[in-house]
Amino acid sequence: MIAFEGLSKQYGSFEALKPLSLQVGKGEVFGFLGPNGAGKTTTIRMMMGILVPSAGRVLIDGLDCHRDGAAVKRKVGYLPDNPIFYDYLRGREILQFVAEMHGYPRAEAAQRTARLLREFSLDEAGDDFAVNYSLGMKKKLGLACALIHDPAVLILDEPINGLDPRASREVQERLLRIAAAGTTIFVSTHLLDMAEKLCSRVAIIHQGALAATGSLDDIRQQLASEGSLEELFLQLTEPAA
Amino acid sequence: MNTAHVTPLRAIWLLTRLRLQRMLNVGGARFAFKRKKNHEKSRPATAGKRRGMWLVSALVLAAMLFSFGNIAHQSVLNLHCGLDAITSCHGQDGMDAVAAQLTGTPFSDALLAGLSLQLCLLWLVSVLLPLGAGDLAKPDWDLEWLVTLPTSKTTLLWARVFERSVANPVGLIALLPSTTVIAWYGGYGWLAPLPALALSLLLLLAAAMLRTLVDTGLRLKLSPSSLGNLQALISIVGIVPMYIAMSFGMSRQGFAFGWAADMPAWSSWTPPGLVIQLLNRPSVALAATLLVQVAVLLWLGMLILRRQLRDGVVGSGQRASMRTAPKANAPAQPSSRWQIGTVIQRRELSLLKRDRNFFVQTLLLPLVILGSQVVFTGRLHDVHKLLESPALLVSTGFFLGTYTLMMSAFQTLNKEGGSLWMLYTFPVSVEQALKEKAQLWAVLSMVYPLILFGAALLFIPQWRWDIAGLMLLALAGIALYSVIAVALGVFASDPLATEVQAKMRPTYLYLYMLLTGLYIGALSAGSLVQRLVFLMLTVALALALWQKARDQIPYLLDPAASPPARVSASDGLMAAMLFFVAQVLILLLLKGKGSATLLHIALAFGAAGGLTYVLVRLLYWRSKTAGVPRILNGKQALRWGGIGAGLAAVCGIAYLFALQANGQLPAAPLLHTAGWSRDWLWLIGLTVLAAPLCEEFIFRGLIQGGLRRSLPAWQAITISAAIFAIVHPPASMLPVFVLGLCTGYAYQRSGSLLAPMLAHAGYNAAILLCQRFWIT
Repeated sequence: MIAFEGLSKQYGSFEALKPLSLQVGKGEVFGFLGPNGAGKTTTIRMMMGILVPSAGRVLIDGLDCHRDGAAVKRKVGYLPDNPIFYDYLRGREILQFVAEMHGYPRAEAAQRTARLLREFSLDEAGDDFAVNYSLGMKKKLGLACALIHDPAVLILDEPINGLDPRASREVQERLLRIAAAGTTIFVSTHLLDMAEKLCSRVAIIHQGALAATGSLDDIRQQLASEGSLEELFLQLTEPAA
Repeated sequence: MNTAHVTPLRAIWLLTRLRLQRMLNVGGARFAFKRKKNHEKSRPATAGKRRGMWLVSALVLAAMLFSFGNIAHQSVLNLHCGLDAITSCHGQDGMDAVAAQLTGTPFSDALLAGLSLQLCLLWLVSVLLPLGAGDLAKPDWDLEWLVTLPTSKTTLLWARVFERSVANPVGLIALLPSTTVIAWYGGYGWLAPLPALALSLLLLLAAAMLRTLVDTGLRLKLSPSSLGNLQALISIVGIVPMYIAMSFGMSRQGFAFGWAADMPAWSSWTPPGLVIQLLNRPSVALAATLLVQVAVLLWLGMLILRRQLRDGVVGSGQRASMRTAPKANAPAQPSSRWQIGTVIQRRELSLLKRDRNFFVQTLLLPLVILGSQVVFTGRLHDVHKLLESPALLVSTGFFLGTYTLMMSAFQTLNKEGGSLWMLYTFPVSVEQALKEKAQLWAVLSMVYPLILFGAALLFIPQWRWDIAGLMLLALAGIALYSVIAVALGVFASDPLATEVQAKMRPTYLYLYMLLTGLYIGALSAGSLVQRLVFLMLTVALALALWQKARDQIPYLLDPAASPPARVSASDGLMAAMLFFVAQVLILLLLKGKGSATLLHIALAFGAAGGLTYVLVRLLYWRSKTAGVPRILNGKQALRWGGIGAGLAAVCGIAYLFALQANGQLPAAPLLHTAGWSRDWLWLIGLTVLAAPLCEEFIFRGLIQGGLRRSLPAWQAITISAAIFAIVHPPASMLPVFVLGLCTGYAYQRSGSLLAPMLAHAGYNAAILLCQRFWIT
């Protein structure tokens, strides 16, 4: 479903992402792990056409994310690490706008908006200006925006970072339900217990390079170690490595 | 634990230094005087994109200071002439004499009072403009953080007032020119800026106190959205004292002169009045009075400030106020049946409806500016002139439209701000979204011009085609400039910048204003043909800029990368411009004082063409540009070149005969001289060799090839042919346009520049021979 083909990105002389090749299958929940500044957000931004790759490409369902941007976005829902919304618009209006941008007629967009607001218990807050939301509410609204067109692929950048325990639990359960319905989920995080709970497969990147990939068991075998994901992660991302 | 304490003075100094440092950093990022060498591994921040614009900014600042100084100088003289009833105030010589006589002599009481009024207005500007420009609605960047430092609140507040008085560039620009001029008349000579600066800073101290009182109070009392609205109001209100203060320097009529004459005598004993007195005739008593007054004002202000902040530095819930307010009128479901425009356009409209700041800046400010020009300079009767002069009328309409565009279409990307990422998540290209915004603003910005033009058409006695035509030209210009504004806005805005000041690169704003100025020039002067030519050039410019902007879109959120260099229509336009400017300059150099001979023209043409060609190739080679047109590549160049030459020549010769039949053929004595003189050889060399080489490279290779990237072939061919035609003399425009179509077609079919070059050469040769042998 998602194919990275030698994707890389340089900021001037700094190599943010070294050539990355990876495959993510349909219906997988794929965890993209790495310490702060490892290149996770850069990778995701290239998947969304927000950044242009320095070399290589990334395909979603066979479409080049840079070249066929508009077509890719019909299939993809995206939640940024820090969603910023338009000033002077209410949550409901933003959601409505996103739905209409995805081509739904007005009435259906309103219906979808109402449903998602209800599901994310944003019913009341939906009539407030979104700039006044707390981080948790912003993330919920962002997730609702990402889900409004029933995408086949979800790309999430740190979805539960900064959420309180209850909100974080809610989001994780929702992601599991979405995955069960057959949606491919590509999720970046540095929260390992979440990755352990959710992901069928993970990739660990460190300083812009792929350090390990596979299911947890695969990685344990590769490292000949019996530790938890946290221990594996620490082992793979030692500063000297 | 550290037991050492920071003294209040040191704390104030540290905080002031921090603010100045921050200001320098913000400016430094823009000016880029020096760029730090990055360490091997470290992340090279975001130094990649910005170029050193400091020279432009410095020049603009110098120009501003100069013009403000000039206005201040004029104001002093005008007030002197008006209030002291001087009779010799006319003509340049008379004014010079008055100025010389005034220098070093004490001001009269009336003049002191008048100048006090002006300085007082400027002082208001130094309070209001920074208030209106900063972002009141955003939480204050430092007070919440500063109170966590181990210093007393009073110290922090004093520090705040001090740093705001030192770091108030707008205030300095407002006050310094005026005080310097007054000090000059006080006999300080070239030292005038020093006392002027010292006393301006004293006034700015009071301004900083007032500003701090106002914004602290407002922040504590109002919700962010009403703050935003209030701020919009302040930014408008701030312009009014500026215009009144400036009106003293513009004319001797405005109503402000009446105010100046009515100023009571005690006004010279207020701080601004005392500053003027001190600059005019220094004395210790005056200085002491001024110092005491400022100190008392500051002390009173501090008392109020401390009272304001007695319950803490954060207002009572900036969110709570939002939660209660909109409930009642929350449009839970979109109700109206009919809708205007696209989704993006509707969102833009609802933002415009809610964001008063945006509304005021786009739709109200043009009216305010125009209105204050008319009212404050006392030229109300000018309104009649609008009807008498169609050029002035359409220029005014065009100005209103393009000013709206500058605040709206130009700001499209800027307005998206932090939520620009959303545009990248939709299955609609960002270019499409920008296009829809350009359309929307084209329509909105035509509202005022249409009202103005409609009213004018009602008032003029009978229908006049020439005025209606001009109006259409202005409206077409507004539509084109909405495209230009959005495109330039793409280059001008930096969506990644966090500082308000760094979000917009002012250079592009000046460029936009310059371009609108050119169009106004074309509207108000010139023949119909010239106007149409300029319209055509504007179309080409809009297309070319849009293309460049489109190339930029995928890189907007990229901190370092820029789009790879590709041949674009704008390169072609610039090359064409260089070609013609160089030609004129070289010709001037060659002919000296005599008249230009054919040899001169040929040499200038050849040299300019060669220079342009070499320069463009060199630039392309250096930037590794893709898509550079090739001469020998492609297929069947000879065939398509021949066909193009044949078609164009037939049309051209037919046109010649038609002209001759009508007796409109321009005389060309050289063509009919007997024998093959040296001039003849030059003429052949010029037309059959040099012209096809240079012109085809520019017009077909760069312009048509560049346009072809974003337009269908027939449009690219037509537009490049049209540009090709309009740079020729009017008599030959039509056949040259046909030639452009033929060579364009030949280039499109063959893919090689050789084909259009051959066609061009063949056509020129045919026309030359025809004129020599058949037409007599």
